[in-house]
Amino acid sequence: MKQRLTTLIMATVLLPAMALAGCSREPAAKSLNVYCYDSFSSEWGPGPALAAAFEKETGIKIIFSSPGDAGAVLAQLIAEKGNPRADVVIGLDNAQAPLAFSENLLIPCRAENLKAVPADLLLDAENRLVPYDYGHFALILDTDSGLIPPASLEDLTKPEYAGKLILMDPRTSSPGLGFLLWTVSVYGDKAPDYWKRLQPSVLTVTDGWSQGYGLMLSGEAPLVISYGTSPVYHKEYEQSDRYKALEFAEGHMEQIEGMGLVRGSKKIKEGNLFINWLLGTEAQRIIATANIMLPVRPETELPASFGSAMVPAKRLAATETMGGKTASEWTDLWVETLTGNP
Amino acid sequence: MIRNRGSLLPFLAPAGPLLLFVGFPLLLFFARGAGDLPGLTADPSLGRIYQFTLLQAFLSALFSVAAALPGAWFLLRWRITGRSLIRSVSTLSFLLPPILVVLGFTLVFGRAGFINRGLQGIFGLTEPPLKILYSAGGIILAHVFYNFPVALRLLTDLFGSYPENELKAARSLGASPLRAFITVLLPSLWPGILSAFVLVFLYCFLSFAVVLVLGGGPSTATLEVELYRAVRFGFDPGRAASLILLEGSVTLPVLLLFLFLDRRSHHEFSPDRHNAPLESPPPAIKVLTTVYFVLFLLFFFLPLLAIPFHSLLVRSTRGGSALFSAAHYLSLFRSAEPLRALAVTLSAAVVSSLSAVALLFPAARISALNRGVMNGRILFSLPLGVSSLAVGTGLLYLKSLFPGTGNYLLLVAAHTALAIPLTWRILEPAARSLPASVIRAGEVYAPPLIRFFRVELPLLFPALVTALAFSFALSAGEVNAALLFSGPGLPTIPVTIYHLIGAYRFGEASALGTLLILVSFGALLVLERRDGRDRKIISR
Repeated sequence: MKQRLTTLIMATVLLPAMALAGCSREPAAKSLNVYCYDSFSSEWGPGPALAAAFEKETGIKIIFSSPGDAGAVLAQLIAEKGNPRADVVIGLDNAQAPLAFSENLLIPCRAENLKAVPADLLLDAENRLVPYDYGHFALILDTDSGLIPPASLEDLTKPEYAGKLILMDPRTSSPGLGFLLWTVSVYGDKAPDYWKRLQPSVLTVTDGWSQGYGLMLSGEAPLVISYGTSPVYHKEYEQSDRYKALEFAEGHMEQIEGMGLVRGSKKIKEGNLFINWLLGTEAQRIIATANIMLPVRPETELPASFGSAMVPAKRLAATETMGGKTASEWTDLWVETLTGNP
Repeated sequence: MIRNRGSLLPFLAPAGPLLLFVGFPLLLFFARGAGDLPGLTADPSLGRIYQFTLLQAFLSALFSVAAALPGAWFLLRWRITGRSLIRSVSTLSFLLPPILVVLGFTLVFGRAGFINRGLQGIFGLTEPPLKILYSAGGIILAHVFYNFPVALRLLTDLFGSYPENELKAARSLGASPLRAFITVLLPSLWPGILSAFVLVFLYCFLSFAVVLVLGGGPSTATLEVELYRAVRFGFDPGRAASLILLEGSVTLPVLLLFLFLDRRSHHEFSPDRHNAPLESPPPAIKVLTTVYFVLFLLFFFLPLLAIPFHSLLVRSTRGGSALFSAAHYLSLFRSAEPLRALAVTLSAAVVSSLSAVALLFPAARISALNRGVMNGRILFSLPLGVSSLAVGTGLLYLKSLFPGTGNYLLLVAAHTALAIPLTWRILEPAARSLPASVIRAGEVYAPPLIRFFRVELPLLFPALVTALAFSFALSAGEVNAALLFSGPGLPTIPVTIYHLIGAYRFGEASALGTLLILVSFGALLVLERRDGRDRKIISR
């Protein structure tokens, strides 16, 4: 018993020491602290490749830190307001922008490369939040299901789609909120009526994209709300065109992901340098292929698999108040409408 | 009740991490929100969410305990082969990130799950016949899957001696089997039933939407979903603070009522509880037991097995058939993050579970000697009534006080703190039911180390194993604190699984989940075997 305990204790002390040794690095002469959502800086996200290339070019070390999803990043920035530990933040999207601005978290950036970014992708006139990639919310169809593809939001309410659709909760997920605002921008005041008519088609409402997309992949329902670029992954890594993004007649809501300089940072020059570099064509290619989103520089060279992305002819933009209500008020109404008659 | 100053120390040691990682973050959290507490009564949908949260927690606790009762009786009364297998399997559902549980569950019970596809194949049906998921029944099924194991283990661990002679006496005096059950057996089961019911109720009351996916949402969302929205989407600290108070208005009275009832219901294990070797069951009972545990294994093992199955399945191109290969494993190990995550997760889980047990053991001893001590019991149980999301958000503030990106020590300390309430709920009642005379005799006759290894450790071993197993699983499956303190250089497995899924790599996520299951299952089996051997030593 005692011997086994000793072995156990030895192992538990050695393992973390090894883990720690693996990640202890000598401090670089110059460095930037960058906050991002956790999948950006993971091994399968664009973070590691970007940091390596930037350090090689400029000698400035990028130290990523991620408290969780994009919501947690914003919460942490608010928590540290006045005494920020981050110089640059990556990953706040157009839906989060109003809060980031009203909390006064960011200062305007100066980036030469912004000139090459189409004006309709810019998030604000002062460039407090600068776009680095974008995409469109769209329904993904599993073509193995043999379902006739719906061609519009209105089509989804037809009886043939009963129990065939997986949505996400707008209170906890950005595609969920994206879909909600999409219906608002198409139906306006009649949106609650649409949600009620849509209800028979909805198999379940998941709390995050991961569960929803996972359920669709395991065959629970053939339609799920995701991104127009989702088929790119299946094309690139599975050589499959089984999953198709549908283009709808009403147009598609756009999601633009942005980055910015954190107010209070003492490394404004280096921060601007990094942000400008991320808008270069090499960084844009890395971001687009790892994030599976569209680059904001149209001339970026992309793998052939991006041909399977759905880029809608008609793009819809969310405004801060749509039909006289904020996104949060629409969400309240959504909860009220759908929990009314369980 | 506490006899001298020296005996206060054991209660202060575990209080430290609890205050730092639960109390302090909550305080920081409230400090921001307390300024503007809006009234929540004007919100009609919140009322419905509140009612639903209450109802599903109550039903889940009821069904989990009801489903575990026969199992506990079989395990306590009869000698059953595969006992350690059953106990090990039941801890695994606790260990997995919810996303994998949901996936495993739907792969078995879903519209396109094994069962439906099997039935469709046999009977030539076009529509899936089993439609239990995506209804309120689906939520309860998923919650029972999660919580039944806790119920089964608490019922068996907190059980007094099996009152064989008393039952016989009652029957020979003319009591009906039902009356004998109610008057003799039920009181022995009562502490376990109470503990299990309250724990499961609190977990389900504070549960997040992940499992509710199986209920078809959004009419099946809990208060935690509204809280998530307030802290992550709208950033409304006032509303968040109000929601925590609203949750507390249910969880605190439930906790206090439980502690009150629990204090009144304690009773001792008889010192000879291990002496009577269990008998083999008679044929009729054997059939019942087999049916029960085969259903149990189907219900628990199939969703868990679905994950390894999924990890070997390689998605085919359209029209082609499914292919099996180790491709996901190969591509997983071409990356550095998974192996590092495995090392960090296992070491953090072992260190934090051992620390939690070591910190609480002295306090549990004191509690065993002073039956009336309430202080520690209330203090250590309080975090069970608090939302982990609120604590997690408070930790954001705490973290901003520490420099650096990842911090192994903070991760382990946070997991230790999170494990304390559950460890205490398992260890304390077990210690309290030890005969004080035995402990005092040890104090008189043996030096402390010998006393510890020879008397107290063997007597408490089953409860210790349960406490270690659950706090191990709690740490290995925890996401909130892990995300905060891990940082890019120090990932844990659940964090890495989310990274993989975020990059569409569902197959590799299942492969990593499979590795976590295999390693943990191995460790649990070893622990359970030890448990069995030690019992035999004592009985000699």
